Amino acid sequence: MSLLEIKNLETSFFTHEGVVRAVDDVTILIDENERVGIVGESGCGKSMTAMSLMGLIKKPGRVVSGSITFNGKDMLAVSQREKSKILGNEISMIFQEPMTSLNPVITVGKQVKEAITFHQKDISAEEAKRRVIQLFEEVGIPDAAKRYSAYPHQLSGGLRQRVMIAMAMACRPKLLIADEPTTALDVTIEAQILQLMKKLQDETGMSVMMITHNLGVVAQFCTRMYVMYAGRIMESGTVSEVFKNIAHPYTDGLMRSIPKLESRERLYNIKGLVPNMLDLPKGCRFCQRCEYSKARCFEEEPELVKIAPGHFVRCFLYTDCADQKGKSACAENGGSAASAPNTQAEGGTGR
Amino acid sequence: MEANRTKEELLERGGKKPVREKAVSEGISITEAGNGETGRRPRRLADVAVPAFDRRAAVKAMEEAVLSRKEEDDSFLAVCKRMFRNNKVAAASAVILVIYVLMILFANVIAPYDPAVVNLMERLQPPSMAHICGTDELGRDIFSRILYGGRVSLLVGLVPTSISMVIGIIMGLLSGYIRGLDALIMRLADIVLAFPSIVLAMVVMYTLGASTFNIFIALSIIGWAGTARIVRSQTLSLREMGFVEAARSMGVSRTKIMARHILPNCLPSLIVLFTLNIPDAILSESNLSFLGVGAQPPDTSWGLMVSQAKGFAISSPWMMIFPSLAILIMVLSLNFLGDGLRDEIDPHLKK
Amino acid sequence: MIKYVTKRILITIPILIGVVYLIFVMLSVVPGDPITVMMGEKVKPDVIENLMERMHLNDPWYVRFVWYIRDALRGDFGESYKLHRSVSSVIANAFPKTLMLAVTAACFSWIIGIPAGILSAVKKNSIIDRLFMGFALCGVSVPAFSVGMLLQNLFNGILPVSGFSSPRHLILPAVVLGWGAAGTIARLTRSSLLEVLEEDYIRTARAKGLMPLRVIVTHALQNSLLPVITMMAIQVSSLLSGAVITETLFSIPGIGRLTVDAINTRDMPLLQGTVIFTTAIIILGNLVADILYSVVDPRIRVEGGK
Repeated sequence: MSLLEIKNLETSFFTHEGVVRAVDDVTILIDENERVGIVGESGCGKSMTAMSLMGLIKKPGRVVSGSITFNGKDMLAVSQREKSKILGNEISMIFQEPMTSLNPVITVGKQVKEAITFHQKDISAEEAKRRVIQLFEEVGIPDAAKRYSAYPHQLSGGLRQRVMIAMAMACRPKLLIADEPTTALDVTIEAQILQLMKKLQDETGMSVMMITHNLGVVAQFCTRMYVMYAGRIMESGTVSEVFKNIAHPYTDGLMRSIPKLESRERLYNIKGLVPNMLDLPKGCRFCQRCEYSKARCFEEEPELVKIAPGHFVRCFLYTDCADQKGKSACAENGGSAASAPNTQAEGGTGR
Repeated sequence: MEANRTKEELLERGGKKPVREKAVSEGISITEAGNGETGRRPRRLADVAVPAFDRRAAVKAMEEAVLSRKEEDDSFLAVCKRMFRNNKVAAASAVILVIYVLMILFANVIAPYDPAVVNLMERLQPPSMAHICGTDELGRDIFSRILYGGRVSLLVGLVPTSISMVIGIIMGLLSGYIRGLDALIMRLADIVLAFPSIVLAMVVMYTLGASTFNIFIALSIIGWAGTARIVRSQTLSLREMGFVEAARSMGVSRTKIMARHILPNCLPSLIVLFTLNIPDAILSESNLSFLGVGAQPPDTSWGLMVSQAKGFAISSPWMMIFPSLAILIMVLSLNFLGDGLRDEIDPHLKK
Repeated sequence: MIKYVTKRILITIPILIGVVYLIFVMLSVVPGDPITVMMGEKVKPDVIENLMERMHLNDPWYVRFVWYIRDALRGDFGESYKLHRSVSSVIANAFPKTLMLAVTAACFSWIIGIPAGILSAVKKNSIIDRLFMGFALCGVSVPAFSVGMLLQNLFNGILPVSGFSSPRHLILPAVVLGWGAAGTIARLTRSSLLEVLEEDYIRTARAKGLMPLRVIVTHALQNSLLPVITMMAIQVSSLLSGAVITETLFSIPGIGRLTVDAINTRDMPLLQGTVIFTTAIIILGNLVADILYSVVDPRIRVEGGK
């Protein structure tokens, strides 16, 4: 049994204009000691998945259906008291905006200390403070003892994110959720923070759910990945498998939009915008922007199918092949996709 | 701080923040490109297309590109329509106000008695069928007096508010746009705002002599400072925006920039301010009348009616209750209306 | 911090001088002969001349202004025409009463306003919220003296309705005076708290596992009360303003009543003195508010302000 099991989760926002299904039938499994990446453009529902897990969804949103099980506990059913024992203790979270995620009127040391003293009642104040300074050292904050009594506005973005990490690590969580932890930081700092997180993960054996829009971060950091689009999982698998055999046109588009030094080609961009969540296309959610979309894509939505061990894709390019019907047609169609032919053959047999 | 916030809001209203930089850097190319259509509201700068050499249109188009909100019409009528649809309380207040104003305007038709006729036989009558609000110590019908007194209160609400807003707008524009005048005007405003408003009004009334007309002058002298501050802060943020910079670079005169580009963009908040300043003026007049330096008999106003009931608060409470209610309903509806308008015009403040 | 406070104090000086100047000019143009106001119609010419000389009334107004400033700095605001006592002693006599009233009213408004605002924010859009906000809005939508008369009517016989001879006399006036202030405070507390509850660091605190109530107490309140604290100090202004009305209605011999009396008796030095005094207190209140704000907000405290 996995450490975290999110099954068929649906989180919707009930707005005046209509119901927005921010997270739609999402299943994510995270094992112990695993680094899992959730990738997608902004607004695709990746943060909302994490928020549903943390119980931080704000009105008018709520979890409509599905289940979230952490460490054998049903996170959607536990009491407030029970949940407050888990959050910050067994599951902790780092947010995207280190600038605004710390309370401006409380010293950073106290904010981290709070995480410790709240979950471990028997610890003395001095002991807690000592632990905080130790944590600060662990996450690479120079002058840790001095920084203890600093206010957030006195620290740089990188340092603040380190404070956030220290806060998240304070109770040695089993699962760390990192919601775009490096997006707001400089590239050099980004590398440092990722390295730090990797080091901490190695040392503690916790699991990490890394939410990002940056495939580079996933490649560097994660072992397994989920690609989300418009509230749905489009592709999932181990990072090595997915990067080797990119299956979904959307993942392919994301991959090709990364600038490469050696290539002299014009940088690819996925045409169009994320669909209006109030007015989703009838068929596949990516159909309007997809280079390979066929009539069928506009009519019905594909299922998530297995195309290789541990590699799942939601696209007709592969289901059609799997049906063994128009295999040749499939080859023609898929042949133009950057890396489709390779996966397609496996897709046919992998079922 | 205030200025910053307004600026951010205005930029956000434009949809995307980088628009401003774009507007500046692409300023020239926009004027050179040109194939018609300035009537519609362009969403992106790429859509901004104006005939060459028409600098007014160019600036106007940029202004719209920077300021236009997504899918929402900013015209006052459209705002009212939205308010009526979304905010039932504000809509009800608007209806009440219209009825109210009509009743006051047609007091001579509606009022059952002559408000000035003394009838000592019927003095201090409690409310009855003959006198629905009772009579005062001279036997005058209170309902009729409320209707006629409303004329003074309404005038006091409208005239000084309008005068003080005009002064405030001019002072605010000058202070925000012309650096040399800023300190002088703002210190002047500081001085006026330093006084407790009633006390300053009392001194002005003492200097000028108590009369209804002098209330207009006293309240105008006091009211401009607040408006000037708000207009100034908006001007400060608007003057830094792309379309103003562009207009300046094209040699549009200061007066024209202030009148054509800055003032119209301050208008929405000024409308709200106007709605919220009226009740303030009405209350101030009541206070002055109560202190004996406001409206003078034989004129009457709601405030004067309440203060004339001073000796009868215990024996004949209706004398103060009904005029107080008249003030309450008027002020309350104006406040609701102002809040409703603000919510529609400035959705960022809606919480 | 010290730099900030010094700068803030230096800004107030020209404002204070401007206030005195404005009052002085306005009252100088009032028609009427102060000697007549002071002594009545039948006074010997040489007495008048003597008095004019002593009160610098023969000098042009700007000379008198300089005289006035010089005397005022020494605490001398001249002599009341009617009371025949020094204005400063009259004010010194009246001010404690006004202060007592204002402080009681302020306490009342905070004790009522802040909890009501917090409760409304926490229970946003509930019946409690609507009720409190309705009351708050009514509090600022009706003249204070209307509320006062209503209370006089309702509490007649239960509480004293006029005069100023025992602490019980303070209750009704303080409620009337604090009523509007309580409404303002409640509305501000509510909106400020709601705003803070949307902040990212509240989400961080929730993610730490803290219970909602604890999040509000330890993380939201301090931030949301920053603007409220400023408002509280600024309200000294509205309370002193309001004291004019309340003291008149409840016959309390404080500064506000003194101002009204000075106007009615055309007692210029007294009016000048009370208005300048009241305004100075308010400017002081705003100064304290700013400094207080910088003390509670570490962003200003540590950086030295901007």
